Amino acid sequence: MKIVIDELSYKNKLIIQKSNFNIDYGDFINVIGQNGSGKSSFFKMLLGKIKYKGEVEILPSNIAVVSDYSRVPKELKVSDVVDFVRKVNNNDVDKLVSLLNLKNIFNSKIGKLSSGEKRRVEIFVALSSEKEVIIYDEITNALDMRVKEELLQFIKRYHSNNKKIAFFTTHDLSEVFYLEGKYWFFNQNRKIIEDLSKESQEDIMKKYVLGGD
Amino acid sequence: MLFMFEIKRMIRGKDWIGMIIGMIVMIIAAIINSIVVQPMFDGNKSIRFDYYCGISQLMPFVFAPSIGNYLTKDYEDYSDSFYSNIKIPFKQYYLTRMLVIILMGIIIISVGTEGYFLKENIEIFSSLNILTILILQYIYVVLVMGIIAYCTQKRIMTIIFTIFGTLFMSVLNILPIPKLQGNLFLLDAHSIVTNNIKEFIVFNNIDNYLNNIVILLVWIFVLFNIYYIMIAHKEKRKERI
Repeated sequence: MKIVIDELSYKNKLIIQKSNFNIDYGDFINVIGQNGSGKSSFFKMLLGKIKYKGEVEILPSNIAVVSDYSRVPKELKVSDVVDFVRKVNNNDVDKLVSLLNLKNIFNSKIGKLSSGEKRRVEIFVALSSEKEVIIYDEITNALDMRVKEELLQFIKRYHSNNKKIAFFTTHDLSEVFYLEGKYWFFNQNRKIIEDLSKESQEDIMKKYVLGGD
Repeated sequence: MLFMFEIKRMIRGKDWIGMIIGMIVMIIAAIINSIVVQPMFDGNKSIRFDYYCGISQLMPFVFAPSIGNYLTKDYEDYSDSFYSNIKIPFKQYYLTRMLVIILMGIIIISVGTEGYFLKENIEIFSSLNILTILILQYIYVVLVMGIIAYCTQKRIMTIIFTIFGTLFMSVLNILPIPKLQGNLFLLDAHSIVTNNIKEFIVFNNIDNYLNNIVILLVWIFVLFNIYYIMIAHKEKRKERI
């Protein structure tokens, strides 16, 4: 699939210019950049919320988003959501329930779950849909180390054996290097630099995250 | 499937409790109104008219918090993205939620109205006439609030706009503007619907009643189309490449 961005502006500010990539099914893309580098605007563009000049061969309706904010209706129990999703999609529902350990929170209200448990339900909803692209938008924010590790392990295992395309963004580079895959860096020159996985982790941090040359 | 899911959300969300309390408050206000104010007409005509005026005029104020909360909370909590994540089209989601709140209101208004009229020994046919008008007015209120909720996407703003909008429209409705006086807003004491109901109850004039049905249906049709165009626009944005 092709992503060509000639120009992406948001609120009269140029975000990205002249960047193009090819994505294949099964790609896991780590999106890295400082605050304000345009990661969120890029995702909004993919979701059809911001106009841009260029060509993106991903339908916004084919993208599921998991973020650090719970979107699942709070008034319901986990079992209500699982039953509903099963009726709508029935795509790997039982497998995902088991992999994400949802059975032990089945009777809990979504609104009363911990942040980590809410994140697991969010991921369940996104992955059980038939959508081919998943955006993980800073999903590890406010999670403790143990929960973070569990989630990252799950994501790594799930996507190593799956054809869905994943975009993963975080400010913690250790997560990015743990997950592996492709790296897209949003630099200060309004460009996306693709796949620098061969460079050392220190160089990447110095050049593109800490604002070096 | 989605309908049952939304019913479950409505029940677990407890917005219906606010609506039931609102209905009880309106009935009590209608009773107080009928006791305090000198009855305008004989016997059950006055009971029917006072009840109609009480519910019709208080509806946008009393129901605003519960309906506003129900229609807006998904925008604030980004729960509409939950449906998008599982590939349920926006149109289907918005219309189902609208249908659920309308059905809930119809049940509450019907039980309240029929309960009150039965207690007052009003014959069933007369009570059904008033009930039909009140249900259509309720649908009118929900559609207006749906449009406000879509535009503001904030609970408190939806409630404030509904309450102050009702006051503003009520003032606008009494301005002596030819052809517009009484026609701009359908829920106040000077609206064409209230005048028609008065004529219908006092003189049993069925033409006035049918006129009301037509006016309300036309408004509902127009408001529904505005709402539909708004959500279809959102759906279209989501589908474009």
